Amino acid sequence: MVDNLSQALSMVASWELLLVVLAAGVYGIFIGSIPGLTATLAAALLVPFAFFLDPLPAIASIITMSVMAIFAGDIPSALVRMPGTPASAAYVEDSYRLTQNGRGALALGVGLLASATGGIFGGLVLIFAAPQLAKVALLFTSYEYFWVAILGLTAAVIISRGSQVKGTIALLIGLFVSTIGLDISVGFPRFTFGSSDLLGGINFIPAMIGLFGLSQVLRNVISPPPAALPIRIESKGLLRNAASTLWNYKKTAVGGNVIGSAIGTLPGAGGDIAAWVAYAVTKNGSKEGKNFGSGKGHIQPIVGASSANNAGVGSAYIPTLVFGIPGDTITAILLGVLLVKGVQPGPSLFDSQAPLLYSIFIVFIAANILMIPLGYLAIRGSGMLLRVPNSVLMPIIVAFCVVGSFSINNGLLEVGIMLIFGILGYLLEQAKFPLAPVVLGLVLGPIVEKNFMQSVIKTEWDLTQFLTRPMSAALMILTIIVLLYPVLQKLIGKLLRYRKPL
Amino acid sequence: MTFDTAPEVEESVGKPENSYDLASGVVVVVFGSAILLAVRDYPTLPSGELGPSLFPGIIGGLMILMGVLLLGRWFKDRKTVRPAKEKGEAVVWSRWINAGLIIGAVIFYLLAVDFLGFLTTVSVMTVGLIFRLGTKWWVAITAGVLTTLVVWLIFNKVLLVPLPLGFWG
Amino acid sequence: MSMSKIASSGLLHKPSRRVRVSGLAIAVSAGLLVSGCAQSGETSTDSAAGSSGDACDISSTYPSGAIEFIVPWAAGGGTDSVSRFVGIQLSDRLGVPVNVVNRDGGGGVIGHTAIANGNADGSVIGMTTVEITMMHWQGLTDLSYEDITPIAQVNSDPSGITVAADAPWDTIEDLLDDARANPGDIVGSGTAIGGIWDLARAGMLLEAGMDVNDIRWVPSAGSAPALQELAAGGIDVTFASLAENATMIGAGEARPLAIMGEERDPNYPDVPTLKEVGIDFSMGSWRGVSGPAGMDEDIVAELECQVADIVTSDEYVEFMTTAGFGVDGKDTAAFTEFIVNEDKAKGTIMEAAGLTG
Repeated sequence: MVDNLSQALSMVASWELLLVVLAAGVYGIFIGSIPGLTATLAAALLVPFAFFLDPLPAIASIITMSVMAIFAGDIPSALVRMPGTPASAAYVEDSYRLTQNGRGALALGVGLLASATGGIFGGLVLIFAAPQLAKVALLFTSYEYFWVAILGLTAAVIISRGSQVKGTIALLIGLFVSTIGLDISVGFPRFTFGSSDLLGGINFIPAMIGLFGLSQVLRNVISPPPAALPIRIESKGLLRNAASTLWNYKKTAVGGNVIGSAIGTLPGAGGDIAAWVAYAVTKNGSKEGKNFGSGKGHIQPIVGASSANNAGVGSAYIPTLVFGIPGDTITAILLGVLLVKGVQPGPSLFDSQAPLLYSIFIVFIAANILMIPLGYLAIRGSGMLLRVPNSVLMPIIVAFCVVGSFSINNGLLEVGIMLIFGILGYLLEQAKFPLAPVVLGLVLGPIVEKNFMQSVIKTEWDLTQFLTRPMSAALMILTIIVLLYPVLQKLIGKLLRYRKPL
Repeated sequence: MTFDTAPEVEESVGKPENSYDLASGVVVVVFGSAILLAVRDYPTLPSGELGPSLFPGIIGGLMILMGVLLLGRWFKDRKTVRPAKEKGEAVVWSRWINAGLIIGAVIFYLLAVDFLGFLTTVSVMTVGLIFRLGTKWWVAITAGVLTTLVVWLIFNKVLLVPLPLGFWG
Repeated sequence: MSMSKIASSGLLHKPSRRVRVSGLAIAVSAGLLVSGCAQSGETSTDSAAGSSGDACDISSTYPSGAIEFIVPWAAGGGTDSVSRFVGIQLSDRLGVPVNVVNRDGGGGVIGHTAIANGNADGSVIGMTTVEITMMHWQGLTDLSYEDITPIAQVNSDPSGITVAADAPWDTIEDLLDDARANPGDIVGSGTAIGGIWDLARAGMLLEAGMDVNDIRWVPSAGSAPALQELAAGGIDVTFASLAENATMIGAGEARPLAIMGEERDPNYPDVPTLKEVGIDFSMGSWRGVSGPAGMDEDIVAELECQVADIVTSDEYVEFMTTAGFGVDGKDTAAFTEFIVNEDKAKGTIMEAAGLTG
């Protein structure tokens, strides 16, 4: 391994590569910080260029870009409450509320450092445990995926601030919308009202832009915030403060890293679920959990969830590199580039092309380090947005909502979806329903249903497999523990107090 | 499910938390029932078991249950929680008109963009909205047109999104 | 290793994106730009056509501006990457930007509809896939091959039949005998119900004189998740192109039993075709460039000539081979005839398998 690493280091240390990584990093930050644009688009746009580069710079450009874009998605969350990805939707409430209370710089700074450390952790997992973890991931069948998705749904119920009933209703709305379109089991068109546009279902990105972006604009013009609230991104001492805050929550960060790496390894589940589960676990484990997502916002869940989704980015490469099964869209694109470059993924990659592989890992870690200065500049720059008066900012956000949802699939359908969800988001918010579970329902609904239906079709409705498969049973028990943790914690607390009276 | 739920510390302005519970409870129950009605005659799996109707059915059922729980909570709390006084938040019609205009602007985009093209449509939208929200006309025109051009450059020229050209193209 | 079936489905939850091939320069910055696929765009006219394309300059007025190239599947999938490659090449040869636009959704219905509804002046073309011959039988849409103008085929991949390395069947005959003896015990996967690989399964069973449910179908979001299920022991057999399974086969986790092509795959010389074992059946996925119905003959001829040039170029063959796709070029006449026959064949199988809507 040492040999391979030193060989890899010499491959990485070239000006061409550094230039590519830097350019791709700036590009990623830029794309990620525009609401509604995701790393997938950015990666797809890079592909034609990757054809002309050497294998390593080609792969490095895509990795660097995706790492940056996922962090940068937090910036619009904090500033205008428009999460860039479903993963940042988990903690959008906290980061936005922190910004409203003048602590936006801290929220973003901590998010930046947590993302960077999470990414580095994910990179180390990739280096040291990829083949082993891939083997575990390959044991997952539809039963286990079903429980992982249910675990994610449980997270939504736990995260819901205020009423659990309302959180559950919000989740059900998202789940319902996710059933629109062709059904997985027999290909029956559900709730499409004869429109072929709806056969493909409701894309969650425009829904998310509407729920958070447009609804925020509506709320803002209907009940404008008090004018005398100068909100600034105070960048003085930003990184130092963020670092010391992160250090205070180091356990939360490590927890997020572990959750992110574990769940991110599963092909198709990825960092989105990881961020939500990490949020829920952080909330369960914190004394201040009940203040998360409400009041002035809280920094701790940002640490947990932000660490998790960036750690997940790293481990998503594990099934891709070891078995050629892409973990998400970005890794799917990367897989295509690898193949075109004559790099055949597989366990043998770790022997035959080890130096190249290790240089990919080094680039991954370097990209996460580079994220700190680039992210710092982006945060500083983004603060200017908050100086724009609302009467100008709101229409600009409307324009971005429209064009962002249009560019998802180059059609007007998505703009319509964005509008409907904007109005829905406003109404839900007025009636004190949380919005984030709607997004989670939309994202996880198809995963839950698909894996359930696959499982019962496989076994002709033999449900016992959900309980008797060891891994499936373990995941079920984990789900129940996460769900009942607050109750269990109280019980255990009481027991301990009886034992050891002060 | 009775976890310790956070008391709402903020947003004391306006109505108390459960003032919409009656309405939302009813809507959720009705919606859940509508789903159940809609999935009644969905096809089954070839082997005869529930297929496409299973998940929407469960969702509809849970919606009814949750809606009833919400109504129950409203019924229990209706005496103890009185609608709070609106703190000088009289209904300001112009604000509702603003919200209507924002929704209208998106509808305008949907209807007009294929004919007028992106640049014209979005310029009209943003200039109009900025002006309406209380900015001087020359600021509105500058900011609106500038925004449109920047969005056009970013999405059309850099990100290569084929924004409609309309009659320009 | 192709990912077409991932793209054609829901495994990848990230949004589908449109991508333009040429003219991209600003954001990605000079550091990434080594070779020029970029075009200056607006000012380009027909006379600027690249040198290699001159022999193909059949229509004097075409192209007069940017061309929209619609991909009916998501970014990142197999169809997307083939389209993008063809898009770059077309742009080079025609001297105008070719914007590759993803229109994903509805099992290909949305994108194919967008191709059919485009201007028939050659400014809108796209990559049609095998699904155009299937979705109307399924009752999802009225759209069929009659609503498009086939221009040229660029690829086809026969279905493979792959089992886990430790599976009890050594040959395709073993598998079929077992399925005959224990109908319904063996489960296969690879696409949604009624998807191309499901039809491959049904067609094979019917041709072998068996019941379509002798090997049952578990719907999946594509061949990648099906492969995962195969490795984890959740299903017994996958139906998908062998290229999609190449990594797992190479890693010794999976074993191909047969392919449904006309001849053996040079990458797998030991794997027999179904015809060799006495089942006269072949099926696979394919891709070809098409435009809306009613295109001008000269424009079709020009595009046909350009695409043919691309398909026979060394770059294309190398790209397709390394990416694991089969090169299969057909001119307009042959492609049109092929689609008509495919459509009939799909209808017959889907009717027999009870998949028509």
